[in-house]
Amino acid sequence: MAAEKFPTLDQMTGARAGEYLSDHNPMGTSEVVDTLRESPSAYQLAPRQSPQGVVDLSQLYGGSVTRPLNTFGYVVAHAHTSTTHFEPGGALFGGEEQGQRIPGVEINFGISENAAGRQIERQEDSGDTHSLDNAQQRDILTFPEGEEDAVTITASDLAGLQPTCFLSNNMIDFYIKYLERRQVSSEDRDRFYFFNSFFFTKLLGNCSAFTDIDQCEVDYDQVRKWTGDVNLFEEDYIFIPILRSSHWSLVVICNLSSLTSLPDKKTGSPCVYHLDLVEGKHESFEAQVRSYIIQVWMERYRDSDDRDRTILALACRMKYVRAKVPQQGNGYDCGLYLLHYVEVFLRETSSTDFNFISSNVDPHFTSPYFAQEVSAKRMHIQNLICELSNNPQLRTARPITDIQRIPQRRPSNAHCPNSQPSKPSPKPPKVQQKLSKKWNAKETSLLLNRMVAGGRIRKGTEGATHWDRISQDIQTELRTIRTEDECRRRYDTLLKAYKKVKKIGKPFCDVSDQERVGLNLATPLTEEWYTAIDTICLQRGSDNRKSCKRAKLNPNDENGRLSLSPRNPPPPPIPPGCPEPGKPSRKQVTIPGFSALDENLRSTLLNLIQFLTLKAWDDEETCKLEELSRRLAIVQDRKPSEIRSYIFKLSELKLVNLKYDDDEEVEFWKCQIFACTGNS
Amino acid sequence: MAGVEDASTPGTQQDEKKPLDGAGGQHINLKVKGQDGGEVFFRIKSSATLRKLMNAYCDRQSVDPSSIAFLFDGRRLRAEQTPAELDMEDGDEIDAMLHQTGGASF
Repeated sequence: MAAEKFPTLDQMTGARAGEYLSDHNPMGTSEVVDTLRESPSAYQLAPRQSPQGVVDLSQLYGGSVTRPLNTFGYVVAHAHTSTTHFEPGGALFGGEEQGQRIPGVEINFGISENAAGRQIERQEDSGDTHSLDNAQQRDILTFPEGEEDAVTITASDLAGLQPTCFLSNNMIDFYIKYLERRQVSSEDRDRFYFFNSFFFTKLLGNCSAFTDIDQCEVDYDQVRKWTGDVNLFEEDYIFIPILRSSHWSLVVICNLSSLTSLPDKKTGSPCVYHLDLVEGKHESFEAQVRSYIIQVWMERYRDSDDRDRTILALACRMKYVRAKVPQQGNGYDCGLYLLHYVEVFLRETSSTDFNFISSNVDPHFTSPYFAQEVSAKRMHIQNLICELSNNPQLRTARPITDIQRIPQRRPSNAHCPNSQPSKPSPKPPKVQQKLSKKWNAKETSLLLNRMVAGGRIRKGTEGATHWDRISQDIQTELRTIRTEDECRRRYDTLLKAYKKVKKIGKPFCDVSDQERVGLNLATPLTEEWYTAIDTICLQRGSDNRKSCKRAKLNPNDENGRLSLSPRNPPPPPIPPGCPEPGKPSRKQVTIPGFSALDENLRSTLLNLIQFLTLKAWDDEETCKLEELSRRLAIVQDRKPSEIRSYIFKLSELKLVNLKYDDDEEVEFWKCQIFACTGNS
Repeated sequence: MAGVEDASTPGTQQDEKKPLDGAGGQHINLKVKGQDGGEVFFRIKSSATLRKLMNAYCDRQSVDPSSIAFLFDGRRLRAEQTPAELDMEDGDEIDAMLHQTGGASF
């Protein structure tokens, strides 16, 4: 019966299955290895990121396939605790207390940076005491951003994408959510329902993974509310990713909608497919799935006339098929196979006239490229996460038609018809989105405050920290969530405007509306912004004579807060909003948290950077700075990252431009500092 | 019980978040249910973020907060959400699920 209605899966379940399997998919480990060897591009990054190698068979059977990475965090954490000032999660959140991380705030975070970070951590593990405040559990990406049920990917989830590692709940849920948002067009979305990866565990109640599945009772109450208002009996396909005994498999419930829909609707009878990627690894979940569906029906249609008849149909006629699918050839890829099955399901159903059952599309499940596609998926998902974390606008849950689909890396596949859904759909009103993106005056001034204090040019981790902190400041002070990317872009707009103003040669406030249009700035700026830009211009202008001149044209700007003084010594810039204007002195510099420091530390820091010129920053100096800031941190009972960031901030203000000639001088200052701080 | 007391006495967390409506100041009791069936009760202001509750629970259970996913009616919770935002009511149950990985071994 299923054979007629499911030609796609039939080829896997029917008599021809043997042919398929022997012809295409006896994916033993050796062939996966061959596949990898033949398509090195799929793993081009792998050697760099995973020095231990990708396809070493001895590792495969070693029983410790994932251990190096999975236990890595703990090893690292242990190494860190041996230095006095490591605090988990403290690195990128220097200003915050331990345990105050905000998962919703994303950190701009590249894959390669991660890899580099891990290498450094590894060194540490081997005895190097260099302090690197890297937390294993930092959040990388939240998707779909701003939604209630968003998934947050952490660094350790990402580590699961390394070759031979296991995928986590988060990764499975993230990618399924991504597919749901980006591969299913909005019209079709209500035909699919995706449970998250915790559902089945919860459905089995208190049943541990080691209990015989036959002994496990379905605890419907545990998951009664999970579906909310969604009526499962209106869904065409329900996906349940199942994690049990460290193995992933997928259950797809098809055509429950046929029980409630009108007879003319072209659907098949309800059935359940269980796609287990290692045959027989998971038990049959038939009893549990069936029981769940029946209970859902009983609850929802308890007053229906057809109740008994339908229950009978559900109980007896609904097929439970353990689909024969390409088997996993190794001990670590089942999570990826699961994701690929979901993807192929969605691709097929959305490419044709959307009826998986009547679809005659060549089944991708039996494609000879299947293994390759799965193998490439680790890279693909990594790239995807990288891309999403760099592009905040992609993180929101817009339907596929509104944004450019992220190109998918797939091996060329002759069997694959053009399956990219490209149905046009009415665009959502964009005005609303723009309005919500609008920054108010407070935020603008806060951003500028921070930016002026910190300067723009940041690289690497320090840069990420910097923008992240600004974003956090905005969040804590104004309760508005701005990602650091948004902050950065906003600041870029400011900078662009600033450059244009420079060309015009007069303060922005004096520029007429017409001229402003002519400036061709992408974002229309408010008056507040123009004032702010002028402020920056003035501050930066103190560095060169030309702008000095320009600034003098307008001496009464900002209530005299910004008085220009002779070039030498350069005046410390006072950001807008500084409480005590008019008296430029070192101590007035607004650095977040700086005024909260005690006098002793403040002067120590100033002394410290006076002999460290950051202009020609080389390794040797970095080491010295590291060393100093770490010691200072211990003495002052602060985090090294915090100390470092103060130093960077101060240096960027160009308060410090002194040079030291020899090491003796450094030694002298070191002594001074430590004598000074030692007394405190 | 330190964690529970923490959650019941609104500290700075509560001040950070403006009450969304008039009922924002109400205390509600929430139950966190672990995967082993163990239950822990918390009393929390419905305008306070869930961060304290999460941290307190993890402290009590001596687990790393990052290893636990908190679910409410199947939806993942984030630390900065508040019970009021989520329409939580007195006696509602939060599930604490362990993050796990899967890959199948032979």
